[in-house]
This record gives sequence, C-alpha cells and structure tokens, in this order.
Amino acid sequence: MSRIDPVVLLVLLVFTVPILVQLRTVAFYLGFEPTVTQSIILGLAVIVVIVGWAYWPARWLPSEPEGCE
Amino acid sequence: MSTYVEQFPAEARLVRSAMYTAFVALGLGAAFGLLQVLHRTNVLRVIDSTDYYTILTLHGVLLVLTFTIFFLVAIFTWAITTSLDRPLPDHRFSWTWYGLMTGGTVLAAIPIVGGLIDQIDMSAAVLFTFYAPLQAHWLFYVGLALFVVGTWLAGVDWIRTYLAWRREHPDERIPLPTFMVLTTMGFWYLSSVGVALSVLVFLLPWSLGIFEHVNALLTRTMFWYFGHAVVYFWLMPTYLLWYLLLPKVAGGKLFSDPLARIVFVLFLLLSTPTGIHHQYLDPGIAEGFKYVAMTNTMFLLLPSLLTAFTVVASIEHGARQRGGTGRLRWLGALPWRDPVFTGMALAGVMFAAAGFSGIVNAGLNVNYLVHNTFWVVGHFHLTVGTAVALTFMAASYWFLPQVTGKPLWGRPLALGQVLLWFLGMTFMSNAMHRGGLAGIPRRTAEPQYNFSFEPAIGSVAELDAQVVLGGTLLFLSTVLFLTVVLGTLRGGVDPTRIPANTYAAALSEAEDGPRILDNLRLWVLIAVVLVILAYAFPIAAIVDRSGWLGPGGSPYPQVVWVVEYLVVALALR
Amino acid sequence: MNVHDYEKLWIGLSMVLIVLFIGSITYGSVVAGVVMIDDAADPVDPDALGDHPDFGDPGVTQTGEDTYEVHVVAFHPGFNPDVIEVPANSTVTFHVTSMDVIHSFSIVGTNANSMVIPGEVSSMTVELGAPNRYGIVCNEYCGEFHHLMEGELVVVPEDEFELEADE
Ligand code: HEM
Ligand SMILES: [Cu+2]
Ligand SMILES: [Cu+2]
Repeated sequence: MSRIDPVVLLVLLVFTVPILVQLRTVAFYLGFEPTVTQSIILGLAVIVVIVGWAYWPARWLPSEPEGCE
Repeated sequence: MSTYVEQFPAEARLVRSAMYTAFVALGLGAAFGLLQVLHRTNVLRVIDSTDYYTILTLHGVLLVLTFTIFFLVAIFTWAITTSLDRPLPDHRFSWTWYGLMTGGTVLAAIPIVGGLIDQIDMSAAVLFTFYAPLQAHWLFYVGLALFVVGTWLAGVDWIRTYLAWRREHPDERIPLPTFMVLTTMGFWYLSSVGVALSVLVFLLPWSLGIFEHVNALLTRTMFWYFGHAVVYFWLMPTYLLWYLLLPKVAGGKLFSDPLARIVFVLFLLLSTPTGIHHQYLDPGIAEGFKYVAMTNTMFLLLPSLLTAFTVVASIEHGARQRGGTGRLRWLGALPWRDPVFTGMALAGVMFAAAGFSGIVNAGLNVNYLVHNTFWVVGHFHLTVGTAVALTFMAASYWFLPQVTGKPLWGRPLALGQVLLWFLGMTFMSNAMHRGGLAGIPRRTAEPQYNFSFEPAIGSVAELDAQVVLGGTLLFLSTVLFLTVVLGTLRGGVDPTRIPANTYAAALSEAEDGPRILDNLRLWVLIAVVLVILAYAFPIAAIVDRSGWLGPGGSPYPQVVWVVEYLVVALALR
Repeated sequence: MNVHDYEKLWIGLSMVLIVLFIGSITYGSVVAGVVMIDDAADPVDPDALGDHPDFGDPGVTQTGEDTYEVHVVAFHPGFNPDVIEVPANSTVTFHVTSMDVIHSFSIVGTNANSMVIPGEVSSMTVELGAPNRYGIVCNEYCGEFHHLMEGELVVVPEDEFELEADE
C-alpha cells in the first residue's frame, strides 16, 4: 500500500525535477561545484527517497489515516 | 445539461475545424522545433545552415500565429455562444472569416516553403518578425494581411452576437466569458492596426517595387506596437481557461468574478502602450520613451499577479470541496489523474517561472545582458510555449469531446503527455536561459564561433545536451498529444459519457462588482488615449529623424539578384 | 464590491513589488549611471556610408589620453573592421551602423549589446581593464549567412598598442 495515490506520486516526482535542476544552480552559488554525474546521482537519490517514503509501510504513524488521501 | 455539439451543432463544426487547423500547425511546428534543436547543437544537421532560417520562420509563424490564434478563435466562439446561450448570427459570415484566416496562412506559407525549393523563385525567410529591410515575397505580406482581416471579422461576429443578446437583455451584466472576449478583442483591434498599416502602407508596396526603400526603425516600431499586444492575445484565451475551466475541473468555483473583470480591463488598457520594451536596445529612440514603456510593463505585472491569486484560491476552493484539508495537504485532494487539470496546473507553474525571467527582460538596463540571446528563447518557451501551448493541449482534452460528442480516448496517455511536456520544457528552457547568460545568441543556425562561450555553471556541451534532451521529450509529447486526438476522433459518438457543457460559477458574483466595469466604451477610450500618449511622440520623432520612407538602404535579398538569376536561368535553358 | 482580506493583502504586496522593481531600474539609470542606447547620434544614409567622414573609413581613433572611438560598419555577414584592437585600461566608445539590414553588435561576456539599424548609429561606451580577447557576434538574424557574422575585440597591453596608420 502506498502512502499516496501512485498518480499523485508521479506528478510529485515530475515536479521535483525542476527543483533538482535548479538545486545545481544553488550549489554553484554556495561554492560546491558538482559534476553532471554527481548531480544526476543526487537527483536519483532524492527520487528514490521520495518513492521510498511513499511506499514505506506507515507503521509508526498514528492509526487515523492521516497520511493517506 | 448536454454537450456543446448538441447545443450548437453548427458552431461546433466551426470550433472543430479551427482546432484541427491549430493541431496541424502544432505538429509541424514541433517537428521543426526538433530540427532546430538538433541543428543548433550540431547533433544532426539534415538541412543546410542557410535553410535553417526558413525552417525557423515556419516554426515561428505556425506556432505563434497559426496554432495559437486558430485555437483562440475556437475558444472564443465557444465562450460567446455558451455564455450568451445563442448561436452566431450568420454562419456564412463565420465561415468567411475562417476561410480568410486559413487562406491567409496558406498564402503566407507558400513563399516561405518556396525558399526551400530551388525551382521556385520565392522566399520569405524573414522570421515571424519580418523586420525590413529583410524582404519577403509579396505573397507573404498579402497572406499575413488576409489572416489579420480574418481575425477582425471573427471579432465582428462575436460583437454582433453580443449586441443581439444585449437587445434582449438590456439590464443584465455581461456574462464573464463574453466580457473576456470583448476586452481582448478591444486591444486586438487597437494593436493589430499597427502591423496592418505597416504591411499595407509600407511593406507590401515596397515588396512590389513601388517604393525603393522603407524606414527600418519605423516599420520595426510599428511591428512592436502590435508585437507585445499579440503576446497577450495568446495569453487571454489561456487566462480565460484558467478562470473558467480550471476551477471547474478542480471541483470548485471561480474565486471572484469582479476581480477577473478588473484583470481583463487592465490588459485592455496596458497591453499596447508597452511595445517599446522590445526596443530597449534600439538606436534612434530616446531613453525617456523606453523608460515609460518600462514602467507600463511593470504595472502589467499586476493583472498577472492577481490572476495567480485568483487561480490558486479557486483551485484550493475546489480541493476543499473535494474533501481536502490542512495547510498544504489539500493539494493531494486535487484531481491529478485528470490531464485537463494537471496540464493546466503545470502550465501555471511554468508561467510563474517565466514571470521571473520576464522581469529581467523588462528591466530596461538589465536587458543589455539578455537581449536577443538564447535566454529570451528560454523565456518565451515558458510563456507561449508552455503556459499557452500546454494549457491549450490540456483544454483540448475537455473540448474535443464537447465539439465532437466523442469521449476522450487514452486518458492515461494524455496525462503522460502533459507530464512529458513539463519535463521536456524544464530541461530545454533551463539550458536556454543559461546559455543566454553566457552570451549564446538566438536565431542562429551555428552558434559555434572562433571563440568559445563560458557559462557560469557547467559547460556549453552540458547545456547542449539538456536542450537536445528537452527538445526530444517535447517532440515526443506533441506526438503523444496528436495520437490522443486521433484516437479520440476514431472513436464513436457517445454524449452520455461526456460532461455537460458548463463553465465555473463564481463565489463572488458579477453583481458584487461595480457596473462601471462593464462599460466597455469607456475602457476602450482610455486604452486609445494611453496608446496615443505612449506612441505619438516616438513615432513622430522617428519620422522626423529620417522620414516616412527612411534614409535609404536596399531590400535584402535584392530584387536585382532575382532578376539576374532569371536572366541566367533563361540563358542556360 | 467585497474584496477578500487576503486579496487586499496580495494586491498591496504586488504594488510594493512593482514599485520596488521600477525603483531598482531607476536606481540603475540614475545612480549607477547605466545609459541606454538612444537617439543622440544623427541619422546617416546607409547607401552613402562611403562618403561619411567617420564610417567612410571605419576603425579605431584616439580622442584623449586613454579614450578611443571605434567606428564599425555592420553588413551581411560581417563587421568592418572585424578585428578591433584597443589598449588595456582605456575608455572606448563604439559607434556602429549598418549598410544593409538590421544587425546587432554584441560583445560576448559583457554588457555591450546593441541593435544596429540601417540609418541609425548605436553608440556605447565601455571601460576596458586588463588585456583580454572578446568575441563579437551579431545576434539579430540578418540573412542566410547570419551565423558566419563575427568579430573580435582584442585588448592589448598598453605598451604593445599602436594606432593603425591612417592613410
Ligand atoms: C517540440 C517543441 C519545441 C521545440 C523543440 C522548440 C525549439 C525551438 C528552438 C530551438 C528555437 C530557437 C531557434 C533559434 O533561435 O535559433 C525556437 C524558437 C521559437 N519557438 Fe520553439 N520549440 C518548440 C515548441 C514551441 C511552441 C509550442 C511555441 C509556441 C507556441 C514555440 C515558439 C517559438 C518561437 C516564437 C520561436 C522564435 C522564432 C524566432 O526567433 O523567430 N516553440 N523553438
Ligand atoms: Cu513584450
Ligand atoms: Cu546577423
């Protein structure tokens, strides 16, 4: 069971992409200079975390179905 | 409660035809877009670089004149007839303007395409801005003029419908969709007069050899007199959809009808007296005029900021109607599975991003940094290329069933399509903005020079890769869109499976706003005064400097060459 | 007319934002002194540039101790002169016009960027620092060979700089 509707998750992931792309800009301003490969790996990591969050069993949440739709 | 095609079968046919024309233009334009992306980045060059500009002319004309404006007439016809609940007065007249617009497009396209074929001695590689003394074959100008006249007659058609309604309903408030159409047409008439005069008085006679030269700065100024307003001509049907369709598919109501009217009145007033902001870097125009255009432009932010508020508030209202709660959690309650909603919402997000780059463009002296660089291309692919184009595509998924009676085919594909557009544009537009900051010029077949560009972040190769990735995704998204359209058209008619033809009601209704808002004569009058204030002096100054026909300068490509070419060709036969 | 409180707040903030934008641009113009390309120069006849006192023989001229003027004629597809040599640590004013269609004169990596319109003269003054090389491009489409149109600005060390002998 996923925490959110799979389609909402998909939209959320698509939404994350411009943020990840601009994160690279922010990184450069802060003096980090990630290579393209590093940026891609970081982006994929964030996406994996979001997907993981969505599908991780929500055991520790209070029993009322708050996180779900 | 029934579909549009059941209510207005004849109008539905017209709306359908206009939409199909728009879709054909979109498909061709996207294919050329991909060609340009691959050519510029030197990934694949299937055409000669000298032909690149003909392709780019087609891309510009097909997408920002044909696609957008044909879709606009479809939407506006729907809006007028639905909201006044009456058909257009005279169908022969309606098909006449549709015919003029189509015929004009074809006539303009002939010499452009002719530029690609050696056997045809015609060309019009002048891009959609056709700055003189770049010269196109006269057919191009004739086609353009017919197209514009077609849109004028379309406006007459809608105004006649409105006046007929007004006679029967003397005391009612103008329905909001009709109000939007009328204010938009108000500034369209006002602004397109500029380009029509430029074409008919100067460019067409000049292309026929009647004048030897034209005033380059004057015709350019007359183009931009229209050129900024046309931007709002693309945007107003988009706003109309955001105000009327988006709240409805989100499950709610429009937040405020009077505020929507104020927004459209502001666009009527301010769209035209801002055009000089495209000429910040033009010699021959005093700084003062540029400053005035800059302040007007900044005030034009207001209606767009108001729209952002109203649209978000309306969507939130919809989400709460659907049971959404919390500070942000209501976002999850929105109908994200619906491509109509998701497409328009994503288009809105990208428009917000475009607002930032737009403010940079509008900043008089900041403009030095970005003028005519790839940055600008990145900017307007977010505005007209996404806010407008993606909204139109998403709205098509609602309109197509309405005007054909056939339920939407391939809904998941349609959802994938809008998501893919967003992804593709994220990459393409980001890299274009970046490249522009490094000085990479726009409108250039081979932006590879003897020196190299140095982006602040990453490398040119990386930016090129992003542009190619983005452009490819966008092209695929367009193919997907056309697939869904064709799939839908191949299906059977079944009105029972289609939502009724309605638009969003308002939480705060028309009667809450003062009556003066509906006084269109007054607003048009003020708009005219503002335009005269903004343009009389600059035009007078330009003419005073170098005359109506300019200080000289020969047309390019020169007619003499064409004559020589003919002589040689004849001699060789 | 009832306007929601949030709406009023939003309108107020929007107006503040707009005024701030206009203010910052005005600051750039008035205080920081960024001048716009304007109508200061007299119009010229694009068909008779050969007879023009400055554009007839375009190139670099010295006008003061550290100040120079450069006249450039843009044509499809090139600039005359295409390589411009000026000394480091100088103030250089470019005057650019076109003998045919609309072009631009844009020094890559700098703020020097102007449209070039036949009949009009674009004048822009730049402060040059250390020796360097800059590309110059035309960023307005001017014809089928537009992409070939480029030039170079070479800032040479002061002691290596020599004015080209004028005929
Ligand atoms: C498949 C999607 C698209 C791709 C890959 C694409 C790509 C491009 C590229 C690379 C350029 C720049 C060419 C240059 O300056 O050398 C361009 C220009 C342009 N595009 Fe697109 N584009 C796409 C869709 C659109 C859409 C949907 C619109 C508007 C509705 C649009 C409007 C324009 C306009 C107005 C220009 C400027 C033409 C000119 O400079 O004269 N494009 N496009
Ligand atoms: Cu504009
Ligand atoms: Cu050029």
